[in-house]
Amino acid sequence: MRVTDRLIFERANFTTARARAEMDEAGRQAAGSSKIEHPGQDPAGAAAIVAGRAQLDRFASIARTSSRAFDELGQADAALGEVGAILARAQQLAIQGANAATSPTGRASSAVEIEAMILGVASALNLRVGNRYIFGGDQDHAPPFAMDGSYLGDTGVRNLEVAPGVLLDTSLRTEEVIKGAGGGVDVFALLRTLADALAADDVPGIQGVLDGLVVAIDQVASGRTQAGGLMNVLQSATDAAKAGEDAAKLEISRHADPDPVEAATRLALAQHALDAALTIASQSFRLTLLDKLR
Amino acid sequence: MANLLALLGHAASSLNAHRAAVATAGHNIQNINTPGYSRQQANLAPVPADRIGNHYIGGGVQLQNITQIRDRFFEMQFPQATAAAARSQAESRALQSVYIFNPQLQNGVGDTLAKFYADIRTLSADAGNPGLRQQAVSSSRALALSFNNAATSLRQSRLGLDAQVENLTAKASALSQEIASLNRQIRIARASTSGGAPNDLMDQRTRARDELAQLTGANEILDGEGNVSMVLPNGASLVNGDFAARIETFPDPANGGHLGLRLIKFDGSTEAIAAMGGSIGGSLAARDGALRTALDQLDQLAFDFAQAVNAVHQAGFDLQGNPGGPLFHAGPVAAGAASRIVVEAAILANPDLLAASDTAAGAPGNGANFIALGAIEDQSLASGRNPMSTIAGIISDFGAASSRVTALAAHDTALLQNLDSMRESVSGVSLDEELIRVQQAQRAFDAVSKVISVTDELLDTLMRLK
Repeated sequence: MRVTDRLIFERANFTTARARAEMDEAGRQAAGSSKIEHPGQDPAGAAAIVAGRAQLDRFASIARTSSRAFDELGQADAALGEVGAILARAQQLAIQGANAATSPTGRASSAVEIEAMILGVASALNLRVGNRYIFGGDQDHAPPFAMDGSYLGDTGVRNLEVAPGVLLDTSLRTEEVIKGAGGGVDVFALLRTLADALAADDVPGIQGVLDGLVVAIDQVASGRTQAGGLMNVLQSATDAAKAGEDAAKLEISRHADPDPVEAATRLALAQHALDAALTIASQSFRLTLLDKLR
Repeated sequence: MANLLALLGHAASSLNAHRAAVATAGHNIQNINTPGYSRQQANLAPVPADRIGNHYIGGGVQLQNITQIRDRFFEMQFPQATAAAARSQAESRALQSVYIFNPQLQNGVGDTLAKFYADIRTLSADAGNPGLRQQAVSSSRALALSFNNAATSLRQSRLGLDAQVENLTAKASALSQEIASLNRQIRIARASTSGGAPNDLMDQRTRARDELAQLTGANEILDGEGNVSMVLPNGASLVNGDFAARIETFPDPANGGHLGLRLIKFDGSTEAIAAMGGSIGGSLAARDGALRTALDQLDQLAFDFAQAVNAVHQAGFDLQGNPGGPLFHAGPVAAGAASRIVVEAAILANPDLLAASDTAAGAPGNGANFIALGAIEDQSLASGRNPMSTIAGIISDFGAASSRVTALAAHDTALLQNLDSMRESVSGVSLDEELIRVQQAQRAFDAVSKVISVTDELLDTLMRLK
């Protein structure tokens, strides 16, 4: 093939430009930039990154809401623990009051303590976590219990996505745990009855509350068990969501992040290629008849 | 005496021939970097011999002609190769310049869509929280804005290509005029010499032909008079002998006001240009191909998504227990929806109007309707795919189109470079060769000068005989 001067210069131009472009790209990747900056570089990889980022956000959001619900249930459990302790004390006072040896004055004194307990239970259940009164059902913007124990909340139960597409009821049903709906006892009504019976020195009335207190204590304990079970599920959901986040990050990284060893090798090769291209170019420019004729 | 004088005449003719050879080599050297230049060659031929007695004595050398060194095989292929490479390069460049589909782009449609779902989900868990309501409104607005930005970016790319097409068509029309004018000049130059070819004019015409092919994909047709005519890929004649048609742009209402092309023919009549190659064709292919498809898909997604979200939102109830209104407004039709989509102004002003609840009871903690809204993430839209898959699909379709055309551009460019190298190998100037030719002609010139000197001495000797 006949080699002309333009061919020599054009080829030198082309090879050095190509080597420089390769070195620029290798340098960019070695510096940790993404492998894909334009979907044309890897269409399937680009789509996978977009889907991966969406998964990442979804799992992060599930982990966040599950973790928050876990905290709320933890606080609900503590509040129910307080209510349980109050009921146990109320049971003690009821047993004492039902005893014929107890004086009317002692019963009156216990009645005063039970009145305070009613306020204590209402305070414990008017628990606010963040923005929500968590025992209020969907009426979570205001304290769900009046000080006399009347319930101002509703039967709403919070539903959360605990895994993609999987929904779970994540709040306790106050009307069952405290108000005794579905066959239980109304804790406040029971305490009110007890307080009134104690104040009235009504021993049969006090004795009539004793069975109810056992049921109430079991009912609240059952609520705590339910809270514990939900917390376990939410902990698992949070862990699974975090694992999902990690998997999504890994998937994104697999498509987006250059392999450091590969990137460094590519950079070294590109440097050699550029060096060779420049050397060849300078050599081919040097050897002409023009220089020899001088 | 007479023969000696003839010898001087022959030597003078030979000097002229060798001077022409030096001049031609010099011309080649001086044009070594001129685009489109083909090396020229001074062809020398012996002067017919004189018969003297029973012998023929040669009459020296004369310049027969100066020819261009071209290989018609490569020349014929060049316009098509340059047009194909220019087309795929222009399309590839246009698609490569679109940044909006960078999968890692912060606040792209995919990103904001994921944040929208996340904030909807968060709000569903604490529906009465004013901060979370504000956050959900903000992420709805960010999503609408990202649709707007993506659509604007794609529209701007299409408008940028319009501007480019307008610029290139003006250049193409000027080149058509230039070729027609050169056809005329070359014909006149040929007629004014006896067989001499106006090589430099022909080079200019070849360069203009290549550039026109590069811009439009026009192909060359040679007629019997040596004129170069150029024909567009749809068969319309752009240059015919001395006449040049003009390519004109016009806003095409059938294509959203983007520029269409028509040919203003030699007689003033017009003809629509259905197919165009070269850079103009590549720019049009990008504008009306992958870019338009992506914009249409984005519009459809924005429209379908707004419809799906609004249907759920309108089934819910706001914080006061009133029925929800539409959350997004994307207009009545899909076309242009991505540019138009906005969040309902009343909701922007008052996040309490977000219909998170599924009951009219005015329950602030009820986020059941936003659970349903979040479920849209997994539901198929009218297109058959869920919104995130649709976005991923748009990005991967665009990427596949870009990748395909970039690979095609690399292939076409390699072919063109190979052809250019082959053509250059035949027609290009080699400094080494030309310097050798100069040396060769100089030696001959020196030798002929010596012949003149000897002839002069012979004449002098004869003169002294008197």
